[in-house]
Amino acid sequence: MATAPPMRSHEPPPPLTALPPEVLQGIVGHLGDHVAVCRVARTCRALARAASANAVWRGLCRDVLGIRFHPPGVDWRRCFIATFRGAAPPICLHLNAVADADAAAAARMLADTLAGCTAPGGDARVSCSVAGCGVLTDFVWVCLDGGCGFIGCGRTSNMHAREHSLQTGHFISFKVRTLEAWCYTCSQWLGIEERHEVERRRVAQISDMIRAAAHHHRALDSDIENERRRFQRSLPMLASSDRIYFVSAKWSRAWQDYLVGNGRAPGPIDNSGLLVTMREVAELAVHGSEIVEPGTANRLGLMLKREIDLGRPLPLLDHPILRVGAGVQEDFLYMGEPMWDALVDLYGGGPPICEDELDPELHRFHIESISSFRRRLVLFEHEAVALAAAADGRPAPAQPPPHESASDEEFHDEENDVQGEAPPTPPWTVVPDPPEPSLLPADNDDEPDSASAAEQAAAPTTARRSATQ
Amino acid sequence: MVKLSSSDGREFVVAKEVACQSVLIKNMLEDLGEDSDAPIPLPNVSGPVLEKVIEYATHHKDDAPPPPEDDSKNITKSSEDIEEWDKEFINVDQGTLFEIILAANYLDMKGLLDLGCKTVANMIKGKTVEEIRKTFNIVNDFTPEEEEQIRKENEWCEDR
Repeated sequence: MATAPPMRSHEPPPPLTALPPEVLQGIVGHLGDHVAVCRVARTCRALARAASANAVWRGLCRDVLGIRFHPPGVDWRRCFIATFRGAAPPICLHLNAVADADAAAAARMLADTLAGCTAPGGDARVSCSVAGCGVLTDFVWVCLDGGCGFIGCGRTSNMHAREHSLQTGHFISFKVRTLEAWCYTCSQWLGIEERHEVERRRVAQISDMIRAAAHHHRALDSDIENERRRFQRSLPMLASSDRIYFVSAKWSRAWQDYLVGNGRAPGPIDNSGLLVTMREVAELAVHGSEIVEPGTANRLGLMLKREIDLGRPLPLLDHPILRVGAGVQEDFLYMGEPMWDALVDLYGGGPPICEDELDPELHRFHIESISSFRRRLVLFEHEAVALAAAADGRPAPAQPPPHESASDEEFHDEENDVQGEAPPTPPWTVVPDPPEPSLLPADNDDEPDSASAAEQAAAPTTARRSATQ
Repeated sequence: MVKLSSSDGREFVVAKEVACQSVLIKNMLEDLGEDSDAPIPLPNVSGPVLEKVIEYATHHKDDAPPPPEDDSKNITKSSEDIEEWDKEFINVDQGTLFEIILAANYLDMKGLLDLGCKTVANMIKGKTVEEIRKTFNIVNDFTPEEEEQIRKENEWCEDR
């Protein structure tokens, strides 16, 4: 169409910068290239303003970085620069598969299900979509990929969520109770603290959308509950230097279920089942029962029995001590003092049973177990330091720190340096002796414990098991 | 049919579905009611530009409505993918291009506005700061301090 020339006779052409700001922003927004945007910004004030618009950078994040979701509250220019330079934490672009409409559709579906089926106990339930599976709310996931809405049980149940992902190529699943997100391709929890800001905001946005659609149904944990859970997952992992406390295995399991989102918070800590009094030791010894494990207790019990029968004064007779025959994992788990203190603050209960209170003779077996466990823990900690150093490209000490050597202090300083400068390693990656491949995060999605303190609590058990094998 | 009147008093008679590609005109028609045949005044659009706009609207009258803006599944809207007819249509001098953009903005015609913006964007791409200023007769209105500041803010994407 060569119609232009005659049109341009009566007035001079308006300059580019005379176009309204929203039009200038539209033009800059169509550049689709950050280099061009940065150059245009340097030409004049009007274009600098247009090029600083958040929407322009949101578009660049979409066009250049492939981030198609756009949760509110993001400074997209900052996000673009950090991500482009590789200075931002990782982001899962499989989340692109969940459009706003998809999330809304799945949220409505879930809300309808929750509203529609109320069990006799009064608790609304969502069950696994696979016929005959019957796994309920606490253990199921909802697939949000393309608004799919499939409900599948996790890996601690019948793994139907994973099966669904393998069959359909859907990646993004939200755990129903906690509305936390998992990507089956990245094998990764999404939206957790150490992830990209935009991903975190997006996961939070979708969770909120689902909660709102379900009118904050009580089968879904609130934000506040999830915040508590996250805090507890980040409790300090057991370190070899910690004083060790014994915690009821039953209570610990309930707590771990809560941490992974498979249950609600447990009641107060109850260690009473781990305790016994000398009087009971004496009585049980008479009956020759369970407490006899390494022999010591029974001998002691028989001795005590004689003393009691002779009417001798025994001031500590009714003082509770750790049951001599109590076993790690079946009866209790080890916990470091900082975690114990934190849990007592949170849950109350007790009583505390600390390694310092063990009787050298009576609890010989426990004391030996702890010291062998601690030796392993020192090795693992050393390995972790070495790995971190290797990741930094530094030479690492090859052996555990020698304690008597003259260069002891220097050596320790260096170790501390390495530890200080290494990126903060998520505690769950430094698990002493991961038991089987099946417990690695990639294969273990139903266990946020792969991302939690739950594994820490389980870890001692593992180490001890291997140590005694 | 709808009668449109340009800033220089020219009248254009167009089919309603052509005129209604402008959200502004569509809303005006809804406000005026069906049976008004008074011409709609468009004081911000000159006759020659209105002619171009009508040409565009006539060609695109059967297009599907644009998809909603905020859909993360939207395929990247690249400034490269311009249809052949559109490319030919928008192949005009800079002054006319800006007038078409202004008219599209005023008339609220998203397709035409996008076409205009894409075209300007394509003229900017691949140019240095100085070349962009020269192409569009842009006056550098920064103070030296501002210029230094903005150069610093944007140097991250040049060094690679």
